[in-house]
Amino acid sequence: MADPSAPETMNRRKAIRNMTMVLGSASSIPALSGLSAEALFAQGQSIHQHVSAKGEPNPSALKVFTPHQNQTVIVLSELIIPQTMTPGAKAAKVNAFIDIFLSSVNASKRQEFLEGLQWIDIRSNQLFRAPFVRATAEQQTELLTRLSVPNSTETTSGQNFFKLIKGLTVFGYYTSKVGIEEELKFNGWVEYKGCTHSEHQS
Amino acid sequence: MATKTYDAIVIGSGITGGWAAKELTEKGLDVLLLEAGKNIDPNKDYSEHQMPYDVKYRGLTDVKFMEENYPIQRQCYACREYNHHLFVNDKENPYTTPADKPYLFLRGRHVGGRSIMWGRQVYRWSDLDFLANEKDGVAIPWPVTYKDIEPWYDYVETFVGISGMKEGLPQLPDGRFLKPMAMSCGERIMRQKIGEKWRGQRVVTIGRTAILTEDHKGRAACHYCGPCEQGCITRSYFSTLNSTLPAAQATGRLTLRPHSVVRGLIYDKDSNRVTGAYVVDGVSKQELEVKGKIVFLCASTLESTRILLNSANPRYANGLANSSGVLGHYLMDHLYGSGASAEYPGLEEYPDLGRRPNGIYIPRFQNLKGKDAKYLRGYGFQGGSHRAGYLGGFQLPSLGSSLPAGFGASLKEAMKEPGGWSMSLSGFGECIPDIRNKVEINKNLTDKWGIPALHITADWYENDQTMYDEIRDVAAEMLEVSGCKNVRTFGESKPAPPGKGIHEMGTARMGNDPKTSVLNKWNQSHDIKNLFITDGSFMTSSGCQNPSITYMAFTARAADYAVEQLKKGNL
Repeated sequence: MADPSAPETMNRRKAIRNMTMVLGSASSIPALSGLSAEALFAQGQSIHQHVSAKGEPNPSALKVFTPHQNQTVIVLSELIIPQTMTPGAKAAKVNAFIDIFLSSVNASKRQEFLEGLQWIDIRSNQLFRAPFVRATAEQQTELLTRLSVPNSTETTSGQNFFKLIKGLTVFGYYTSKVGIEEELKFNGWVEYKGCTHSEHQS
Repeated sequence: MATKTYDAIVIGSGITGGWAAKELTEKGLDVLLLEAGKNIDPNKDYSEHQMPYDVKYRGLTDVKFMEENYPIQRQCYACREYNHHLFVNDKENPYTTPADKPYLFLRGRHVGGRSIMWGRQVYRWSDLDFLANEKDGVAIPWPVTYKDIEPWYDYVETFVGISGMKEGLPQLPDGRFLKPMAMSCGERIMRQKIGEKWRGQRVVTIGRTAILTEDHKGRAACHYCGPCEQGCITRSYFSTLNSTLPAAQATGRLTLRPHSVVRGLIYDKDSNRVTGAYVVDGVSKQELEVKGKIVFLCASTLESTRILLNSANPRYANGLANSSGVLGHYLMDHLYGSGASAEYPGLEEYPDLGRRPNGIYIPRFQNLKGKDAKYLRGYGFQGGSHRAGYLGGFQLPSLGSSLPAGFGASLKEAMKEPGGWSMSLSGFGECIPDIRNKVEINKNLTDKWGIPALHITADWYENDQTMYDEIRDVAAEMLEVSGCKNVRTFGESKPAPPGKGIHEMGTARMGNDPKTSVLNKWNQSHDIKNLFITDGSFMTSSGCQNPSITYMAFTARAADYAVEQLKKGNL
């Protein structure tokens, strides 16, 4: 973050403050010449924050998952995208995203996912005599490895479920605030400079 | 408002309505701008800076909600979870088609119209386009040529601010350009290789776009946040809200009335003039009448014709201003929906950072000097070459895209790696005007405000299909010549349904002969002298270029003529 007292930052804040004061109806958008791309971006973000911030979904307000299903998805997603130097899927509340996602798709897609989740518990019981959330970390990793290797001998529906939850976890993580800000370290849009290589000029 | 007679009533506030309002107020007229839909508040309605985590389904949309309320609009590439409120509710705005001829009527209904969500691509016509009907013996000749419109292209482009690169091509005249946006490495290589193989006949150029690359008339240069279709608080691309409306309001002579659904035009048979419009208030459903000395109908191609058809009276039984009988006919759209995409190996060391709200363009190269193809007219390509999986450059993952193998910390690491380069080309082709492509009123169906709806009959015919079939093969060939691998063509066997190109035009065409056209060369009704129509309905042929800049040029020219005529007492 920029130094709050630096002149550039003060100018940017002033620009934002002025914009927020003046903006009323569509007709009163004032001239914007002279603002740098950085300042424009910051101003745009601040204007949009108050309309857009819906925040992370409240995990206690589950729409589809039972508490057990929710816990299983938390464990699965954290194995897929774990905490490393940066937070993982659990901190990013990927489970809540998947829950909301499932509430928006049709019944057969929802059923497919929930049956896949059930399959995980059945398989875990077969292998480890425990449902997935109560297997050890090594056992959980072993089951996912069995599902994800190229020559997997697990059933097709098990492999397909793994692909499904992996895709949803990746999507849910990299569209979350945690994923975008802390893992990708996204810090604003940059001017598209394109190709700057002399060997490509024509 | 009930008794005031405005100098001009402009119906519709989209691309052309905004221009009409600006030109007429700047020339001293007191203007009432009617918009069927709601006003737009950038603070609430723009969403271009929203992050995926700011919307409930991260951009995937509430599928059931969209299927129920936006079954047609959701088929538009620009209709998203972030901005579906900028598209019409299909339940409130129905239309019908024959069962075997689908039509996609994609649009919004609010101040600014599609100028908020449009693609912003801007390409001039040349005489190759203006003289095509005459040369081919198809439909009717245009009553103007490029030299009539050239100064107006200059005029509107200067105000709008168009970025692009001069290429000196006769079939795509250069405009008044701000500096061009940058091409990616893949695109530059493609430009080299296509240029070498076809020696200047085929040119890969950066898209010409109504997005500022430099500060311009109080609007800021683009800062590349990406989804223009969701709004632009920095006013960097052209829309009514960003440009023409503030200019009109600055004159002090504009009255904007949103929620004003025009049921029909008020016709005075003694003077054979329109005197105003019957308006249904969009919120209260109350009826009111507005009066004006002249009317500029800019409600968009199909909506303007719908108003005229719904304004039929004893003198104009087939629709107001329709003594020719062609009103409603010769509906056109661009062929769309096919092309090719491929991987572009060998560029792994080159980055592709950031979002660019623009692609490349390959201007038409068929039938430039006489007929050298199996079809009449021609097509251009839009497309681009970028690097996928570049999350650090802020691309969004898409559900279902292929992922690195495995899971865990190694997957997280692999996700940080940029993916491979790819390239794709998608064709936009000209369609031949055909009398069978038409709109009529469906008297058994009304919209939410009680206005009779449209019945749209449109299909593709032989020339269209022949051209369409070539597009994907030519796209594939050009990708191969560029050095791409794993080239795959895309597109159904028939072009996408008419309307999908979102360049619908015609149905109130201009021409010299009042027996075969609705408008004269000034966009003025042959029948009713104080009625002007300047949205896409005036088009007599379709070209293959994105048409909005052409509509803007004709609108400014028509407004200039109308004011001159009004001052002379001729209207």
